[in-house]
Parts: sequence; C-alpha cells; structure tokens
Amino acid sequence: MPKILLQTFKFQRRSFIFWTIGIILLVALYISVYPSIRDSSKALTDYLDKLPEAFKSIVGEASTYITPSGYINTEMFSMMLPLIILIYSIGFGSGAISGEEENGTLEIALANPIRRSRILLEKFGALILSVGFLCIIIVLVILIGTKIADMSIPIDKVAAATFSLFLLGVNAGTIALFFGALTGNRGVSIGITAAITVLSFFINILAPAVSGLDKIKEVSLFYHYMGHTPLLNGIYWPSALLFIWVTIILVSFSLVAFSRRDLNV
Amino acid sequence: MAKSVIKTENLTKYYGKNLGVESLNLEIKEGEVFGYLGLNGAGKTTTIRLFLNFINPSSGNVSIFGLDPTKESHKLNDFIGYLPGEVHLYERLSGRDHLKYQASLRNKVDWSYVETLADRFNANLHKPIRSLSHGNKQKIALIAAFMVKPKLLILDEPTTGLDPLIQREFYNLVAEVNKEGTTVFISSHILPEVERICHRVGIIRSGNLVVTEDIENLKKKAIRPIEVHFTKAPKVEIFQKIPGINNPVLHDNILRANIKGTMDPLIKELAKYEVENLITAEPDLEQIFLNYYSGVSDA
Repeated sequence: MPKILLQTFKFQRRSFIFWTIGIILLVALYISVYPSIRDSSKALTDYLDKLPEAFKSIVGEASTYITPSGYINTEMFSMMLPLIILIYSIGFGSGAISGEEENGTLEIALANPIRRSRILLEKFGALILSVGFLCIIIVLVILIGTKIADMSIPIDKVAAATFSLFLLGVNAGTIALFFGALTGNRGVSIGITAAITVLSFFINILAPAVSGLDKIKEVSLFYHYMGHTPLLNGIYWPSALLFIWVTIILVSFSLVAFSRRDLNV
Repeated sequence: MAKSVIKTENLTKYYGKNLGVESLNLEIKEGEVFGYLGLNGAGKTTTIRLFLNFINPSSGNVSIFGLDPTKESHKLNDFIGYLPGEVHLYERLSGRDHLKYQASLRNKVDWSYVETLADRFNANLHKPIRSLSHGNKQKIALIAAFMVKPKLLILDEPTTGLDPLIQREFYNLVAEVNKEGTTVFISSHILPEVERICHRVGIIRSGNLVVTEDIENLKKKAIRPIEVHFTKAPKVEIFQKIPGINNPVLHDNILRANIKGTMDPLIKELAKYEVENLITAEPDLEQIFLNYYSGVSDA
C-alpha cells in the first residue's frame, strides 16, 4: 500500500475545501458576467480589433471571444485557472520533499525500512492525485456553471483543456519537486519554479508579437499548455506528450538527486 | 563474546569545512546500553544521523547488524527504533493517527503494545499533536520508537521535556527492553541519567571520541569530594603528600579536598588523628565529564 501517498493526499483534505470554494467563486463570477459581454458584442468586437498584437494573443480573435468557449478560454483558461493550479502544484511540489525536510517531518518516514526513492515516488503520486482532483473539480464546476447559465460548450473540449491544465500543473509541480529534492530548500524550489512559469507565461503571450520570442516559444510551458487552444481544438498531443516526457525525466533526476544527498538538519 | 551491533571505523563527517565527527571508532555490543555523552554541538546528533543515513559519511564507515546504512538503510531500519533529538511530528494529526501512520510504515506493530506504552507514559493519543506540550509530544515520539520492538534503540536526548515520573518510567522501560535483548544507544548530556541506565559510556568532545569506558571503571577514576572534620586538625602539608589528593584546604579544623581513585592512603593517614566526621559523596560523572572537557584529566 502506498501509505505515504495516501497520507499526503489526506493532508490535502482541508485545503481542497478552500480551493474548491475558490474555483466555484471564480467560475461563477466569470459566467455571471458573460451575458453582458454577449449582449454588447458589437462594441466589444470593434474594441478588441483595435488592441495591439500582444493583447490579441491573450484575448484571441474578437469573433471567437464572444462565443461561450472563446470567452471561457480567454477569461479562465488563459490566466486564472492556470494561476490557481500553478500556485497549488508548485506549493505542493516544493512542500513534498523540501517542505517536509525543513519541518523535520521527512525523517518520520525515513527512519523506517523505506527507500528514499519510494518516498519521492509516492509524493509524486500524491501530486498527480491532488492536481487531478482539483482539475476534476474545475471540469465539474465549469460544466455545471455553463449548464445553469445556458452557455453551450462541448464537454470533450472542456475535458481536453482541463487535461492540458492538469499536465501543466503536474509539470510545474514536478519542477518544484525536483528543485526541492535537489536542494532541500523550499524557498529555492518555489522561487526557481515560479520564475520558470512566469517567464513561460510572458514568452507565450509575447511570442506572436516579438519575432525573437517566436523562435523560442517551444521552451514555454504555457505555449504547450495553450498554444494550440485545446478548449477550441482539443488535445494537442505533441505538447501533451512533451509534458509527460519532461515530467518523467524530472522525476528520474529527482530520484538521483534525492537518493544520495545529506538531509538538512 | 557478544556480537557487535554498531561498529564504526574512522567515521568522519564534515559539513563543508565544519567538523561534525572525526575518526570515530566505536563498537557497541549486543545487549549493551551505551551512553553517548557530550555537550551540545559535540557531534552526538551527527553520529546518530550517520547511523540512520540521513547524512553520508565524508570518510570511514558504519556497520549496523553487519549492514551498511549508506546502502541498506531500507532493510536495516526495520531493526531500529529511533527517537530524534528534536521531535517534529505532523501537528494536525492526533497521537493515535500519527502512531498508526508510523506503524503502517513498518512490517508489524502490535497495537495493544502501543496502548500499553501510552498508559505507561501517560500519553494523550486523542488530542491533535499541535495542542500538546513539548513533553507530551516527546511521549508520542518515544512510543513510536518503542512500539516497533526494535533490536536496536537509538535515542537522541530522550528525556528532554519529560517530567521526573515519566523519566523514571522511561528508565524502567529501557531496562526492561534491554533485559529482553534490545541494544540501546542513548545520547545525552545529562550525567545522572547515563549513570543510572547505561553500562558503558563514550564521551565525545568537539567531534572526537575522548574515551569509552565502563561506568564502573569510570567511577573508579572519578574524583570524589571529601570533607574531614577534626577535633584538632594537623597541618595541611601532611595531606598534600597523600597520593590522589587534590587541592586540600584546611579551615576551622575542617579539611576539604578532592580525591581521585582509592581512598586508602588518606584513611590510613586520618587514623592517626581524632576525626569527628567524614563526609564524601558518590563519585560524580559530572566531575569526570567536566575534567574531560577542560582537558585536565589524565585518565
């Protein structure tokens, strides 16, 4: 039995309540604004067409923006939902090894006949489970919300976009896990991972406008998360597989980094 | 000859340039209760963390039950019950849930034994750990160390924060499990504690093992304070010649001195005079300890 995984997941119970409330409020807020957006579509379209390129890349085409899918894609999946998932997953990933190490609780498991690799893998499993749990909440809340507001939005596309969000979250969480496993320093782990994701975000939104960035957009987590707009186009498998590969590689590196080093006191 | 349970060979640990322990050669035999004495920062916890492979040696090696912790702690730890020097627990859990979790990471823990231990330590298993006092958290951690019925107990400063009654219960428990064959390694800076429960001690100072000695032998080398009340005292110079005597001071017909090793020469000398009272104390490890630390001992 993966006891450490289960225990770690159990510890999330209380925080899940707050994250779920947050997600519900956020989705409710955006959905409640939607009717007024739709009703003023003409003025809005004119306005959006005048925006600079960089902004357009966030908002998308005006004609798309006023559709339910386009609206939800722009307002929720471009910024707020990834922000929520990233805050959660980076917090989780950095806490998994380095956070527990700093609290002194990592030794509780390590004083037992257990390999360090098992601890790390179970923590990784708990990351997947926890981010996955929040993503399921997101799908449910969006589906229920759009149903109530009578916005028509295809379920499979919501699932695809949320799956992409899930991969983004697990990937960022694993980056944090890796730097935590490497250094045992939670601050370092959060700092580096936050820097990577913020940089990723700006590279992706500025890439269409800045030719230099366009060439390196492939290194951006956000490009692979939403460069192909999964809420409109479904899962873009090359990006999804890249996320999975990078995650596997990072977990392997974490195992190597963590299995031999000294724990911090 | 008893088997050795812990054996270190030139075990050395540096943290960067800072010395943790240096060239530690230590052997703990099966069935021993070994006291590992040293001031804070002397290297006690470093040694223990090396035993559990929380840290890796810079050089030298450790073998516990014939296994190398750096390679096989995932097997070795099955035999070890461990109490950390600084207890950190999952504060949100109750003592019961915490111990259940820890038990789940072991092969088998007899829960009725956990209940027994909780009774003996008068531990509260129901409250969330965050609401417990330092001493009560210490009890949970102690139960966790004992509940696995280990072949080797490694206890880092075990009685910190425990009240005297619980301390006594702890000493009893150590004696009981030792009788059943458990080897015990206790780090401490509390000398009466070590005197009370250990068979042998090692004294560590600035990362170096200064001495290992049977408690009994150590006591023989101990310096005893002595006070002799004379009816009419002779000159102090007479006592200065007695072997083993230290700093004799005569005041108001009372002689005060420290004496090392046997008292016989002093007693023979005292017999020549009229002595009203003779007061001496148990040899105190504290004295020996302080002597090792100040570097004046030639023991």
